[in-house]
Amino acid sequence: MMNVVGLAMFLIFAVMSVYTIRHYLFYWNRMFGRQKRPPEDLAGYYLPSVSIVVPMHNEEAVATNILHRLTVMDYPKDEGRYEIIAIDDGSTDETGKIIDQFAASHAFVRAVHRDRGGSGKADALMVGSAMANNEIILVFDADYQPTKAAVKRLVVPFCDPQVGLVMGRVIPINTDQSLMTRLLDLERTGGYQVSQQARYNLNLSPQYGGTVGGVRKQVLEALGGWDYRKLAEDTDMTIRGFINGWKTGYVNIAECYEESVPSWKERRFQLTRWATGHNQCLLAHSMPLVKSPVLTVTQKIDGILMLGVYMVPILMLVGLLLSIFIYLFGTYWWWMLFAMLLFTLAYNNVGNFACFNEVGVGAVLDKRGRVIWLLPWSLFNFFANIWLCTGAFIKSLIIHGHHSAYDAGVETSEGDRIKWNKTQRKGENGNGRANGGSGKEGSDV
Amino acid sequence: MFNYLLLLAGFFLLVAVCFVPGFIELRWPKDAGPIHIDLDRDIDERYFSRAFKSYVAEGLRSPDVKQVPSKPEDSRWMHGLQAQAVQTAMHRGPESFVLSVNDVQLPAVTECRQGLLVSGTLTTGPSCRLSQEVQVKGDCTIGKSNQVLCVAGNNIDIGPLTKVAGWVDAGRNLIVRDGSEISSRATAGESLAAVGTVTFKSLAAPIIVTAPDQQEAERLLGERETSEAMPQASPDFRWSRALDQIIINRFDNSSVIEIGEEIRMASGRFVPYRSILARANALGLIAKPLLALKDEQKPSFMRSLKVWLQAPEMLRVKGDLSIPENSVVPCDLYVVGDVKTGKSLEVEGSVSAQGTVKLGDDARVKGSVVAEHDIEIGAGSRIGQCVDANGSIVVHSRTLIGSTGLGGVASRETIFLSHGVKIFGKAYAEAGIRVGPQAPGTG
Repeated sequence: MMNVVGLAMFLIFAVMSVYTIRHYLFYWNRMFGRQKRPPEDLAGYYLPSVSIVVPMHNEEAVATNILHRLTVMDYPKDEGRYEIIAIDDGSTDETGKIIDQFAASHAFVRAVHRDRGGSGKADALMVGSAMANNEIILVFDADYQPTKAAVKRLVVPFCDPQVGLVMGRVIPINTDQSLMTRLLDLERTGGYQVSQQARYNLNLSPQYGGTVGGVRKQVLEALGGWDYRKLAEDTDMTIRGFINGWKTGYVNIAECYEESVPSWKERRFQLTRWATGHNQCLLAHSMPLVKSPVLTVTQKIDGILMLGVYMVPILMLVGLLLSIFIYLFGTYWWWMLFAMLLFTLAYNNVGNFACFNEVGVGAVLDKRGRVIWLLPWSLFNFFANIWLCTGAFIKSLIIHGHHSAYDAGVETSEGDRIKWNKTQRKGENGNGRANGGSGKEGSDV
Repeated sequence: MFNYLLLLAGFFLLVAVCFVPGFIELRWPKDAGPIHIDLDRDIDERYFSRAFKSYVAEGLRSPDVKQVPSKPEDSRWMHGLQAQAVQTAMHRGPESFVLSVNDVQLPAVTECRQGLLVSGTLTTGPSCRLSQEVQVKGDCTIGKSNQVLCVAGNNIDIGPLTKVAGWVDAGRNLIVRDGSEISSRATAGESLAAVGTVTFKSLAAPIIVTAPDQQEAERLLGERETSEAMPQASPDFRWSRALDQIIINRFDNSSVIEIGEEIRMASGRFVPYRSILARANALGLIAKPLLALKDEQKPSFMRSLKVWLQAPEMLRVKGDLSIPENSVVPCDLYVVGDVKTGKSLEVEGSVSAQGTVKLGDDARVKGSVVAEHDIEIGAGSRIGQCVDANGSIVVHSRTLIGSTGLGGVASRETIFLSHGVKIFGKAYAEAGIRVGPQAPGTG
């Protein structure tokens, strides 16, 4: 019995060690390593045709803001080179009217109304992408505030035909709203400034985060479009692209404000959705990833580690329980050492999905100030993540089983649809600014 | 028991210590705001010049501006001009400018330590030193062997052997002559000509040319040729059942180039290979996103290598690829290795490589050329979009990059542009751009 427990502890310790090495490589790369030349240098000189898709479900508080920011975007709007496809995804509020007003006053804004909407972002994206006439499809969530030059910057990586997807940087705007928003601000700093950029530098796969980013239409079609059965359609698209040899470009300077979730309750819904979607991708894509004929061994390992990131809190929980078991019934002192190291490695490297060290390096690169003093407080998030991710893992197993049954011809009441818990946005923040919104910050971002 | 409790209390105290700074920041926040981003700032290559102009305009409007006596060393050239020295108090601190409403001619070896704002034209003699910014409303001719900080004007002519430590921005045309060096951006609203051997950091203008002399530069600027050299499908072209049948019958056992030839013979017109591949996809012949091609489906020069159709219009090749002269690449190409081509290559898309790309003379690439390492582009080539390398870039003579103000060349290392190169858009290299008659290590 003790041997089995010891072996399990050893495996958990090994997984944590692999994550540790991975993240230290990221820190090293960002602090001292060779950086890829930012695509910014050619921004404004490569201007392919672009379709912006904005799915909106009951977004009256923020719809005007995002549509205004996109209509004043610094991008040539001649000859259909720039179009906005605003999707009213079955809204029951004034969202549809706001979209119609913009469509009436701007020739390049197209209004799409869906009566049976609200069944998930991927579902709305499928409609928007099918209507897109242009070479590049960019996606913005309704509650985001892109900079005026964001589109010019985001499209530059596509001058490389090998780039299939692109991702910009998300910056929380409502940082002063609560402890949660301040901790998420730190998490984003580490996630984008270090993890995303390092993966881009190292020819691994930065993650397309579902907003402030996009995909080449040709690639989207080649990959079979958005998968409405995934709760994390962004991770799904990133991994499918990666498996099939497409690169994801990361543009750190294509910045966009978002409104972070301000409370633990909303964070619970959001993280559960992300973790469930991410684990769906883990279950669906792990084997194709390993078998991909175009990826290097390093890329495969990193891909698996990226997919498995929401499993780490679960491993952590198991490790914790095993540590207690060993403490009570164990006889070998070195297992206690495992337990101690496990905690240290876990918190330092995957504690908050943007780990402790990563946030520190990100704060240095972003020239952050006293906000870094809050870093130890993310320990609370760390424990919450263990609880939420465990629940999400169970949920993803149920959904996976449900879809497998559906694919095998078993009739179910919901068909193959999944329930989508939308993050609610208020359209305001602590600074009194009109705000930006949710979106997936990227589980491993 | 008490000892254990004491130990436990000590432990929790130590744990609590790490939360104290965070508590202070939460209770008395000093850094609670978001990272600042300027939502309304757009991309402007001529930003520095424009920012300087508005900075000066604001300074001169300010009530704090005062007239000051001109410096003795300036009196020589200011004599007879309607010029005055003023001091402004702006965020850079108090600084003085010389304002002139006339044309200004600086004699040889003049040293001007104040900013110079000229409403007319400016001409400098040899070996002048202008250690502050110069803003000229009219044309500006900088003489031989000058040292200048920054200069903005309408048409600007930077004389031979002149060193500019900062930016140069011309509202219309900029010419930079032999032996000059511009350490920051050189930008122009209409055209930029680099004549002789010149060094830059970054160039941006709707048209950029490099030439051995001014006459040749003017000739290149006057040429109307663009890089759009690939044939296009006729707008009235429609796929017929017979043509579809050709694709269906041949897709599994022929390369797209062979299929294109058969379609041309059957229909009497050229159909771009990309359109044929897109049609094959629409007909359901490309069953999966990463389709490994059989030898007979590959273009002849790829047969020894592993090739996939990564998307209907994208070929992925594993290994170093050597393309013989007069070959055609039917769509976008990504090579996991190096690419080397013979003369007169035609690519109906972009070329990207994990290694280096070396294009032979007279290459025609409709899209971009991108490489993780170095790129060399042969003489007389036409590149439709951008050239982007993580290594260095060498562009040989008579090459044309980009079209109608769009396109560019960017490198993480150095760029060498031979004489006779024309770029629509921008050139930027972290380690500098060198213009000269011949690429280093060639010829």
